[in-house]
This record gives sequence, structure tokens and C-alpha cells, in this order.
Amino acid sequence: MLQGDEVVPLGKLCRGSGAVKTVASALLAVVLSGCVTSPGQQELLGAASVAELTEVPFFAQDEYQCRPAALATVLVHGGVAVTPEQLVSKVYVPDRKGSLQAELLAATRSHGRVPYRLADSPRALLEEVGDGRPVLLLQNLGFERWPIWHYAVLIGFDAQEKTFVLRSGTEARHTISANRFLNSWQRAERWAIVAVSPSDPPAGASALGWLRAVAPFESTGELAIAAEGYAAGVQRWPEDPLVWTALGNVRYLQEEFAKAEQAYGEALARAPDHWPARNNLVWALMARGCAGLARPWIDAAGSPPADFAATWNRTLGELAEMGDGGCDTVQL
Amino acid sequence: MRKQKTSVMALLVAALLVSTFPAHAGFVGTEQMVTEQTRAVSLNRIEHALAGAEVAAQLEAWGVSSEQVATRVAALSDIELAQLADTMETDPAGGVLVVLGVVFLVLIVLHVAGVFNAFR
Repeated sequence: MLQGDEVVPLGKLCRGSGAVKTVASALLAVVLSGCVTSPGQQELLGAASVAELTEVPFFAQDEYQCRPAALATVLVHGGVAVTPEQLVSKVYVPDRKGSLQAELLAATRSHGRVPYRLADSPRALLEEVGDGRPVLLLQNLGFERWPIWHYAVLIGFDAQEKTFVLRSGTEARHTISANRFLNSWQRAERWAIVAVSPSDPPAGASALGWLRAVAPFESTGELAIAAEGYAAGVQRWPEDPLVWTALGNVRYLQEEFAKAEQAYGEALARAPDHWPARNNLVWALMARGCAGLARPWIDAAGSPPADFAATWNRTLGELAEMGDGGCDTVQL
Repeated sequence: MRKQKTSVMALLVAALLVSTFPAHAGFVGTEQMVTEQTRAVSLNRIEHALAGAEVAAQLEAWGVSSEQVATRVAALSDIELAQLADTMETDPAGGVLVVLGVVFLVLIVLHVAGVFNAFR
């Protein structure tokens, strides 16, 4: 069992403080030294590290109404003022007696938080908890053939005892063996998310994962949040052409065409064969009446790969209709 | 009642038709750019609206009120709608644990009795 005095209440420490770093590196050592033999095998062997985010709130599920308690838990911990009851109308599906993953993502976004899908490794879960973030995850408590889906929030672990600590259902502090927990998570395709601010991609995030998490803001017209997320992205991954292109896209949609061109330029400087960047740059130039300036970008392009040809031809067709006019307005 | 539902749906489809980002087909949006095109997720306006209507109809059939359905569908992204329209009937829906004990018991009894192998 957990010993109270061994528990490090991470949330009470400042992020980046020495104690957190110690825990985080101990944790890393745990994970690295752990032998990973099978998906269900836990990765916590031989370590002496314990963490628990004691300050994460708890909302009990009641037996008759499925309050979206797990989602409320991570949102409130992230500073959103919301109750499970307020989330019912956004995510609860009466006849399924539960919530769909896609709607949990959408509800997270509707509160201005980015739902970042974690990598499907136990290590990713531990890193987030070590970083002070509770993890919302899906478990299958039944069998593959007869699933019983359940959302819970991971708030801690004890590497020595090989246990995980969850806020789950009606239990404020549910301790479960690492093996059982990881198996239930495995049966739910290892689905886990953290809810973060758009300006704060998780330490373990990948550029592609971050873009996938932020892009739906762009699609649903929440352009300011998308812009904040992409801007944080280029700070974190300044050499990634995809992130620059995303920033260009949101600037384009915000009708800041000069800024869009600049971002696409950054993308193309790093990856001249990045077709979406080149294509969208042409659109940005057309949008501010500078179709003539697109010509050199097109001449330098060569021919696109087969799966991009149709899009590229549409763009060239549009350009041909506009003619090669110079800039109507000077924006730069 | 029936009539009201139909008009809500019509409004929803209309809203989806005009609200789709981006405005033109040649521009490549970020979501489209970063989604694995394992299954061709089509993002043209009409199909987007149809996917929205399909998801809306299913949510309503599952007991979500028609007023909520419109807001909920609008909160979903293009790709999420397309994927939900495909798979929502079998997608997991995490819920309460009330019946858990009973289900487990039945499965375990069946397993022990050798009726079938519950563990995969």
C-alpha cells in the first residue's frame, strides 16, 4: 500500500521546481529500465518513485445519471469553471448511457482547452502525471467481446507497489494494480488525453499530434484559439514546415494574408516540396490581389505528386481566371 | 412534434452548408493536411452537411434533445463528423458502473461453466 509520507503531492509544487524534476527523472529511469515484454506488462519495475496529484478535484458519478465526472475533473483542474451537470448537455448520450470520445474532445474545446491525445504508451501517462497533469482515459472493464466502457482520471502511481491511482466512478481514490489497469486501458485502444491551454503544448507532445489536436478549432471557426495553438507550435517546433503551414492557414482564414504568406514562406524555406504550403501561398497571394506574384512560386514548383495534382490544378485554374495582375493593395 | 424535428434538421443542414471552412475547395485546411487519409475522408460541403445530418439523427435517436443536437453537431470538426457518421454506432461510450457487478458475475459464471471463453 501507499505510505502517506512517501507521496509527493506534485500539484503543490511549482512546475519545473527541483522536486518535480527529481520525480520526473526518477520516473524516466523507471520507464527506461522497465522491461517491456507485452502490452499488458507494466513498465514500473524496480523503481522507488511515487507521485500523486492530490489536489485534483473529485466529482462522484451517481448511480442513476451519468455525470460526465471524469471530463469535469480534468477541466476544473486546468482552471475551467464548470460542473459535471453543465457538461451533461454537451456530452451525455442517454440511450448509450455514456459519452462518445469525439464529443468529449469537442466539449473540451468548447471550454477553450486543447484535448491532446497522448502517445499509446504507459510512459506517456506517467510523464503527464509527473508533469502535474491528470490524464483522462478510457478503460474497457469488460472483455473485448463484451466491452464495458468507463472513463477515469489517472492522478498517480506507485512504482514500487506497481499500482495506479484513479479518480473513478464513485471512488475518489481508486488504487488498482498496474497490470489490471494497463490491461483495461489496452482493451480501450490505449485512449488517453490531457486538456491543456492552447499556448502550452505538453512536454512530450509531437508536432503532428499537437496540430491534430488544435486543427479542429480552425475547422469549427475558433480561429483565435487555433492561432494561439499554432503560434505556440512554431515556438516549440521552429523547424517543422507543417506547423508553419498551419500557422499560415489560420492567418489566411483570419484574412491576415501578408502574415499567411510569411508563414508559408517559412515552411517552404525548410521544405521546398511541401505542396500544401505552396498551394495555400498561391491562395493567399490571390486573396490580396497579388496573383502576379504567384507566378515565380508556380514556375519553381515542378509537378506535384499524384495525390496532390487535383488540388493543384484547381488552384492553377483559379489563378488563370484571375489573370496575372499586380498587387491591388500594398499590405507589406 | 415530428414536423418540428424535421425543420430542426433542415436548419442544421443549412447551417452546416454555409459554415464550412474554408470557403473554397482549392485551399488545404490544416485538419485535412494532418489527418491520415487511410480512409478517404471527404470534406466537400455537401458530404460534410450529410455527415452532420447523419450524426444529428443518430444522437436524436439515442435520446439527445433536438435543441442540444444542433449545438453539439456544430462543435464537432469536419473530420470528427465524417468519422462519427461512419462509426458512431460501434464507438465506445464510457458510462456508469452500476451494472458492472452483474455483468461480470454472469460472464464469469458462463466462463467457469465452460459455455464460452470470455477471456478472448
